[in-house]
Amino acid sequence: MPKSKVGVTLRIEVRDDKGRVVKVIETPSRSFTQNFANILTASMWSMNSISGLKNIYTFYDVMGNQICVVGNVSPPSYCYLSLEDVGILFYSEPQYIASPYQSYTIYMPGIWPGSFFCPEPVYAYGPCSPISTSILSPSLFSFPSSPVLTASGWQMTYSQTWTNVTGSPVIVSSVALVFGMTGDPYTPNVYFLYAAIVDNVTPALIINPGYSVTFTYTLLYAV
Amino acid sequence: MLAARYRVEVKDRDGKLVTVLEGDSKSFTQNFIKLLIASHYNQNDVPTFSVYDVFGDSFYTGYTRTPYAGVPWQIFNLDPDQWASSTLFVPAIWLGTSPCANPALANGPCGSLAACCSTGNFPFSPYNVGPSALCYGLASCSPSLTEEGWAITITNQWLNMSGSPVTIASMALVFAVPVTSSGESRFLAGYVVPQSLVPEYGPSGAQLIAIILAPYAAIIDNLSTPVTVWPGYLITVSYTIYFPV
Repeated sequence: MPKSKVGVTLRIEVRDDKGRVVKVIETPSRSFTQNFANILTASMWSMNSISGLKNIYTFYDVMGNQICVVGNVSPPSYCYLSLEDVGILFYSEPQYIASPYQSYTIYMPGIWPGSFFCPEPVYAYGPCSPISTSILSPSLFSFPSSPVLTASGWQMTYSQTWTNVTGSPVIVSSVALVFGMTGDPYTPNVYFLYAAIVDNVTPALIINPGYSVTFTYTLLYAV
Repeated sequence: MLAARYRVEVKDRDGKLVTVLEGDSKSFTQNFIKLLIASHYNQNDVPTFSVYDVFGDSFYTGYTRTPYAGVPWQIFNLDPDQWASSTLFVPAIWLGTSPCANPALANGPCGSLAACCSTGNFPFSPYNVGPSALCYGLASCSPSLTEEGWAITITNQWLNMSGSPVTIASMALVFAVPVTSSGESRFLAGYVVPQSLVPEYGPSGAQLIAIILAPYAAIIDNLSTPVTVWPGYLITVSYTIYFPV
């Protein structure tokens, strides 16, 4: 790894039902996912080149659907859906819930909690066993609004708070930074949710009834 | 995307390696960060940032000022076919003759541009860039999982076609972002703008939309030591971008 002081950190803050901080974890994030790497690589090319070079880029959305970026040729039969190219990678405030996710456990970009550890986060599609929004209720997803230059580089901060609205403790063992991505030929309202980063939380967190947990990812871009 | 490393190789006319430089990249640019941030938003909420292309010409994110990138999409575009449709530019690592005072705030490599284009009055011409080369000779076709994490390498080879030695002191990773120069945005009408680089008619058919590719520098670095490229010599420059795993 380059020696630059760059990277990703994950901060987890648990508050009790009176808003007092009862636990803080701060750890380097481990895993940009293979899905992110593939989407980013595909986004460098236009549809003509993707098909001309006979490249097929595949990734999986949070539901595990295999999506192919194929250019302007017919997709292989194993693709659940296909795109001609990649447009936007970091869509964070869609105005509508995309149709594939309207009845899914969690349905908007954010930092999603999961109840299980992921065996290999780098290959995971999202947090393992995502926790329903009827159990942990999400706040709005906070994402960067202006450039912030620190001594360590450009800082991009993502944050989201989840509150246990049930009467039972909830265990959180993994988290994922989930974005929307778009591409031709779809409109911006048709996006695919994918996990750019997946991390296990060790030891697992127990969120008691009425307690909340805030996940904050800080990405630093070298300067 | 978080960390990058550059490498510079110079070979003489006989193909012998005469110079190698490697270093940790220092500077993602402010222009890149602005485009990256704006790409998180929806079309009704995207902030207006002024962004500068490599030549210092401004464009804007959002839709309130023209020329505009709207919600920037394809901000990592380095497709030579697409660039060639509207420009003489060649992606993706451009070279300058002077170091930059503050690379993070620069718009491109500093001093005179030595390498950027397929034609024009520039001393360097692209070498081995084209459809016959693997991924146009420009980039990894796929990400690699290394001990350092996911790695994507972007490479250019430039040949000094001038009759004079040229000293290179700064380099920039240049992507292009589609910018609408006039007319209405199809994003506002709920469309995704297609991969067209020629003037088009908007959904109403009334207004002309000119979509161009604006080359902007995502990373700029000063070389630890300026290198001299003699006539007929080949310089190979690369950036490897790492994502921790």
